[in-house]
Amino acid sequence: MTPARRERLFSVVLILPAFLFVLIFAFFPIVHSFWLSLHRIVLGLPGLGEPFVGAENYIELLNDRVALRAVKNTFLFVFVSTFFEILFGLLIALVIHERFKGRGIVRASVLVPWAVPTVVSSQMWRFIFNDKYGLINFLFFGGDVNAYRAWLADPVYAFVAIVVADVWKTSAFAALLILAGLQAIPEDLYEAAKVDGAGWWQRFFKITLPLLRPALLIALLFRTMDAFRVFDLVFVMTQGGPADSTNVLQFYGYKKIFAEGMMGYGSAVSVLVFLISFVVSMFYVRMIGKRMFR
Amino acid sequence: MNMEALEVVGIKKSFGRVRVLDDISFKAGEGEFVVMLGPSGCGKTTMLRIIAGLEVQDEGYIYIGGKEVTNLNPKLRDVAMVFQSYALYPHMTVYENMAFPLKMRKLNREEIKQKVRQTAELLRIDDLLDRKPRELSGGQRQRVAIGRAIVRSPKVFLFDEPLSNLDAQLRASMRVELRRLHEKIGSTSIYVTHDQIEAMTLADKIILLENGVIQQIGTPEEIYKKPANLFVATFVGTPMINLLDGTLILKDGVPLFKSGEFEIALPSFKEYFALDGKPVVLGIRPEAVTIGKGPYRATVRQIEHLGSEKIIYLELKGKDLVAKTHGPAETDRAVCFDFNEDGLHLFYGRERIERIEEG
Repeated sequence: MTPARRERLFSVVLILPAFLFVLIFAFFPIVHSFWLSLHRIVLGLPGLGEPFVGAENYIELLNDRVALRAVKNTFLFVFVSTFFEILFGLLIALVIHERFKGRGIVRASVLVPWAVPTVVSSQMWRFIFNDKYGLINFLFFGGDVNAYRAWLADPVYAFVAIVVADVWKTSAFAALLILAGLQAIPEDLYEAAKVDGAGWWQRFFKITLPLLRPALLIALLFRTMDAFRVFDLVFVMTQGGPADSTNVLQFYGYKKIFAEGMMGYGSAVSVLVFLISFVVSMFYVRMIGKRMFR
Repeated sequence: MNMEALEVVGIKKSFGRVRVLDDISFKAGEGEFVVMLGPSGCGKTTMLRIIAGLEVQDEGYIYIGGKEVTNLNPKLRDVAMVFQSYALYPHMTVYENMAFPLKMRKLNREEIKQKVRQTAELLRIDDLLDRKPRELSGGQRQRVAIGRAIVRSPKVFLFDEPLSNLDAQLRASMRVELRRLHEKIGSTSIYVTHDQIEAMTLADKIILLENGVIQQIGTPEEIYKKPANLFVATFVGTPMINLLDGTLILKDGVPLFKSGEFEIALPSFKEYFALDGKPVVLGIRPEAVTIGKGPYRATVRQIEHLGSEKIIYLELKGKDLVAKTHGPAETDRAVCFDFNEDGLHLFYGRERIERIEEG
């Protein structure tokens, strides 16, 4: 074997595990979901068979008011939660970037929410918003039990609650990415700016923000994609209720498949989630690529 | 009221328990080019940063243009600084980089445009104004960094080893350029470097620092010809000054330096009679060893050719002596030589003993 061939073989061997991983755990499910979505499959009724129905599930999806509501909810959730996560992430990152006593402890504790499993933190927030013994009620109304409200039973507050829970949990993650970006900005740029006569705000807007853009975009990308796939939060806190006010696409697809047994239709919902995330991520990747590597 | 461009009084600074600056005081006159020279870790950069206001001193005062700025932030000191790393804003074009300090001072658009153009022409970077720093070579970045400092005509320029990231050839040409610029603009400059050639060629005045203490302040000529102590004598000059340990002896009223079997009659040093029998160090500049004829003989051990000159390593009665000369020499042959008295320096303890005719 020639050295060149050996090298090629070696590189193939090195790539293979990652390639197989993507093939089995990403590519196959996506393709299979798409295949399922073109059939009418009802779990528990195998007697009906699995007839090919073409675009029927998709046409039905377009006329499904609950599904359209879920699309709207999902986008609203993504937009609002990502906005606040990036905002708080930036603030947290700026704070833990500064040198002060006990910074190590603060840095570590900031990451705690992110380290907690979502199911656990969702459960915690469900307690906090509870209508009888929730912390929120206690903070707002103290011992006045008659004034306590059932937050999660109110369409608007329930939505706010899942946003709050998500922002609480994942701002730290955004902060971590943004902190990495902050640390990549050389200190002498700030010193040059100081000597050049820039105050704190000018340094922030003229140096920090522009140079943080790649990090902000990456944080935005991660958070957007993650928010699109929100499921466990809704599952634990509201089950999509009340009146579908917190029903998001992923949860709707899950419900269709596992609660109603509509395998084909639920798969169509999943494919829709995939298509949306795909388009959005392509958009980000192109934007990041342009800004970062030019 | 003090009208020096810059005056530094009794600056002290420690990092933790390490004293990095100990009672530093000096002045820089209007238009003077002052070089702070010293080995790395001597505190010169810290001193510069204190002048800029980027570092806070423990004690002491700073005056710029007669005004006390000791506790002012950098913005209010009217200084400009060129950083070792250039510290150009990577997301801005050359134009924007140079316009930045003017924008921060709220000049109007037209004024900014005009000043940036003018400065860019002066530095011959006017064709680079639309580029980003990463599209520039090291030398070009250096010019932009200098341009950003010059553009707003500050009272004092601060340079932190600005040439150390350039290759030798570029460094030499930038050195000439810096001197040319200084003569054109004539503003007060404080320049930090560990490179003695930069210091000798650029400075009106050199401040030599070691371990946070000023060793000597003087013109390049004074520093070289009348080094205040052993540190100054050894730090400045290449090859390094020869140092011979020995004893001073008075013989018929004439001072004689004796080191082993080697003896040399010395010119009249101040109060040399008080040093009779004392241990002293004789410093001999390599170019003060004149090869060809003379009463002394030594063996040539090695020769380094530098083109126009050679460095000759001699063995003189068991002692090493380095000479820089044009004279003829061959390896492993004996040569005659003499000393040029101007290049002889006598040290007692650490201090240099002045010669009588120096006054």
